[in-house]
Amino acid sequence: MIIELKNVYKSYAQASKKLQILKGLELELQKSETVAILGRSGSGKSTLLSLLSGLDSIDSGEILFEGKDISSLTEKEMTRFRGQNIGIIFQQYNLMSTLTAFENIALSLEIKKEEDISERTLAILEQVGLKDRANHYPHELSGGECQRVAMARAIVGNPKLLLADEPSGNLDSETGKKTMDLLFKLCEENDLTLILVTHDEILAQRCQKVMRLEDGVLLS
Amino acid sequence: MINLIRLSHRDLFSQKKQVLFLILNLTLGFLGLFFLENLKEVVQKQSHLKSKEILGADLAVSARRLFNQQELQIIKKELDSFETSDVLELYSMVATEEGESRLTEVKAIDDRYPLYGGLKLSDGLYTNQEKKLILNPFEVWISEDLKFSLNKKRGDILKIGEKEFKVSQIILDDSSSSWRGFSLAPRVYVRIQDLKQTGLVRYGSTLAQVKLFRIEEQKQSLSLKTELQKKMLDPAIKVRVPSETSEQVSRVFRYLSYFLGLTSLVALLLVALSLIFLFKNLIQKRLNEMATLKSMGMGHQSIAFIYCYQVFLLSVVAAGLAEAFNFFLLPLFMGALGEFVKIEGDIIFDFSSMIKMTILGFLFCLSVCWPLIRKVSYMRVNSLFQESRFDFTISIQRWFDFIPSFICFILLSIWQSQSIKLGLIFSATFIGAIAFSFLLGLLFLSFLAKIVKKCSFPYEVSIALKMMLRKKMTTLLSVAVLSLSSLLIVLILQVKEGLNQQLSGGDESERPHFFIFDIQEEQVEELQKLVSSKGISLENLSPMIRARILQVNGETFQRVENSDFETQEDEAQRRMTNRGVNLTYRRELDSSEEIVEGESFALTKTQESDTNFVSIEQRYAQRLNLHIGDELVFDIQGVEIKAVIKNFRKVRWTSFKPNFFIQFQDGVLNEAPKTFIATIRHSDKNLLRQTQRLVVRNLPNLSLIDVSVLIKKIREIFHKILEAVMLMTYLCLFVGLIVFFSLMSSQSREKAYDIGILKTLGSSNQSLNRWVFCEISILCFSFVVIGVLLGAGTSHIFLKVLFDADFVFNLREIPLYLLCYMLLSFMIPYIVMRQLTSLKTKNLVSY
Repeated sequence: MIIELKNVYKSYAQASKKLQILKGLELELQKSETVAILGRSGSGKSTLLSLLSGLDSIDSGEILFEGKDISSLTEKEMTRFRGQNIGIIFQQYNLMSTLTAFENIALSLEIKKEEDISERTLAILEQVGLKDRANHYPHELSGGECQRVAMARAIVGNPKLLLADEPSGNLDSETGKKTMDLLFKLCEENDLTLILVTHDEILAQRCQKVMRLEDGVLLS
Repeated sequence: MINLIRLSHRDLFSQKKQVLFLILNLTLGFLGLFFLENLKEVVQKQSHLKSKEILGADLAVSARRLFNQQELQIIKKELDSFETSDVLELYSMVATEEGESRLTEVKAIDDRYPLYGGLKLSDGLYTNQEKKLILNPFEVWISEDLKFSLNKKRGDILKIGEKEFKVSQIILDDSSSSWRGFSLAPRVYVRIQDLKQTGLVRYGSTLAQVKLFRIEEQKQSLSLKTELQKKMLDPAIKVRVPSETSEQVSRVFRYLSYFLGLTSLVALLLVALSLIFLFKNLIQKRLNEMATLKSMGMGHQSIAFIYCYQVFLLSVVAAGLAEAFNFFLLPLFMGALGEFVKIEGDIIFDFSSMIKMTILGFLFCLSVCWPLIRKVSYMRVNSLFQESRFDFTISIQRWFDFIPSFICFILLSIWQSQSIKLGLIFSATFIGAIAFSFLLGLLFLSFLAKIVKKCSFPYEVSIALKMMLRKKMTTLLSVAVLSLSSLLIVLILQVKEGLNQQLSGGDESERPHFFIFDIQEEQVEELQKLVSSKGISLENLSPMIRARILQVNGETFQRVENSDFETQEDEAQRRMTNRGVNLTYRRELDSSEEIVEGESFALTKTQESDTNFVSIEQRYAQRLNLHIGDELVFDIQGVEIKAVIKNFRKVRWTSFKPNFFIQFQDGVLNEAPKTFIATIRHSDKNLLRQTQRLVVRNLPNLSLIDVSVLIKKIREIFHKILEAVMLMTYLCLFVGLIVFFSLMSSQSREKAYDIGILKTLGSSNQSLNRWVFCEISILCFSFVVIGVLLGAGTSHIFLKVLFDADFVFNLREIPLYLLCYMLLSFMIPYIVMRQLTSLKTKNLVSY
């Protein structure tokens, strides 16, 4: 089991009210499995991704990663853990505007102080079909190209878990389809576990497992 | 129009944080300049209100000598029907019975004095109406300063010239003195008829005769003034009315205000840099909305109007805040300013002056923002629609768009310094410094780019370098702002060191200890004997002949009137023209002077030569617009003497040796009536004091100036001016820090985003802190290096061109000041950025 969520609760304070987002959520995921999480806007999909990636903390429950409870890690420990084990793809790409495509991808490896950074970066750029755009800045790339850079950055460090938040949400259908083809290809080639959050039913069907987030719990 | 105004308001309200930063920056930028203008206004008002009391009359006619018969007749003819009072002023030694003596300003008055104002004496007031206290024969009223320095009290005896006087009153306040402090010679009042018996009033005595008149009708005084000036041949005769307040305000205060004004402009320049950046950000955030409006048919004039109106609002609010601060600041500083100018009663702010300054502030801001407004107004809509892709950058290649702001700054500099020369040098230096800092910054960045390409660094350093390289404009602006601040530190401290060196420079052992003047021809021998009896020799004995320039190249040398806008140069020319000249002749040049232009002439005139030659001090020649070969005609006691300018001399005035603006060949003026000045020096202070006592006892009309006291006084004035300038400098440095902070803060949103990404990718807090540390350290290092280079260059120019002083690096203070400033510049953004790095990742992503 790569990841396991047990009885997870999460709420936010909104004005004077307490908004309960997750209510005893449970999830189990095997290595190399791909799962799509569907849900209405505001159902808590992004909250779930934040908790899985350690960007936010749970109110109660447990998040086990390869059997280890990561919900009790300090922020410093979580940052290191995330860098080593989790790759994230955001809807808004979240690339650093002052760095080129190459530098944005290489950064992920530099932070982990890994070796052969240049070779690995070029290799992944070739995989995502952007070798000739290596020295371009995000503002010089199209939306689809930016998302491919973001995907390359997320997987270049060989994470055990890949989290994707509406990765095609900002792209037109044609570009979105191509980008998603690439994402699934990369997952397959790199033997990655994927949690994909999306609105798109068709895209969700491409995953091995589809779950719906409704009323704070995941339904199969 | 109303819709446009409403749109402007809404636009500003929606960007509160940026708008507040802009207002804070502008307020600080205006503060110094507005403070100074308010101060000048208050001083001007005060001196206007007190002008009659300071002058003591509705009309005053004065000369630095006794009036001749012809002049007295003119005065009598024009002013006979008015109430008048006669005053004689001279410098003389006042001695105690114990033999102690001190140089004093003796003011001899008649029983009609004062026509206005008065004296506050220990027993009461002495005014035109209140004359219960009478200055009896051979009594003196002495200032408190003299009372303390000679340790005398009422009833004690003081000797002035050949006569003894009893101290009857102590002067507590004197309305005729326009400024306090720094007085070299304290004042003593005696009766005019008594002064005549002291033996001090004789040919060549350094005295001034003043005739005061009560006219009452202002118009009449002005027409009388014009009439008198027409009839008086000698331009050295001054005719003054109270409205000419500028003459009455302390010259030290005016010099102070010139330097303070220029220093305050540095703050304005710093703010101009931040204004470009922050206003650009303000526009950039609303590009899409503007594009939409334009696509709906809004013209470029309307868009320009929206932004011009925003600049207007921002500058008006900032000006209002700066004025409000001044309400509190000005009274606080009034006490300290008592050293420079006498300010009494309540401080009244002038509304029209506030309006004037606000308009000025707006025009300056508009000139700075205009290139941005123009760009956004004429921008193509299709570009504007692509907000995320469009980069609203200011290209360095478009520097000429800023020419109106350069012109505005140059005009402000000239206005503040009241000098075209100083204003141009100052503005050129600082605008040049910005250009150079950009140039050096660009060179530094290209060097960094090469390093980044060739070397591999830890990723934190690598990101820091890449950020700086790719946010070029922010980096360059930050470096320019901080370089300008460090330039100011270096410049002020260098000028201080240079002038200090000049004051204490040269061979100290050659510097005289006493300067003796008013030596009559027949007293030279006796003085020499007296001095040598103490084992001291009389040195630098120089004849001094009072004269008047009649013609230059056949044209009459005319009085120069003051105009409404008078520059420092105009004023210097007017002062030099409207005064008598003292001539000397010498066999050889002194070591403190050298010929810098023209030929040397035989220092002793030969029989064969018909032409008399003169040597003129170079700055004096510049002020009077004299050239080599010009023929001058002098009136020396009614005798006309012609002379040709053979050369210009540079004089090292800080040698404190007797030197003259105009120097004749030996053999031309030897028979003319003259007095002498001379110096003495000795390392034994006791011996010098004994010699002073001996000279004052035996030759009481002679006056001695203690050079060390003089230097101390000059230093005092210099340091007081410097202290005030330093205060203004601190304000500028603070503005620099705020501007730097604003530049950094405006990036905080972007930085937070980057930090969020890095944290998501697994970057630790320590790594992020190292990144921030590295980026700010490089910025601080580069600004210090660039600032020191620019500061050294500009201070060299300022010292050479303005003060004719040498450049000596101030190693004592500059490193310390720069280190402190660097630490502050480092800490402020570092603390802000550290706060960002310690924020939770979730907060950062949703920032």
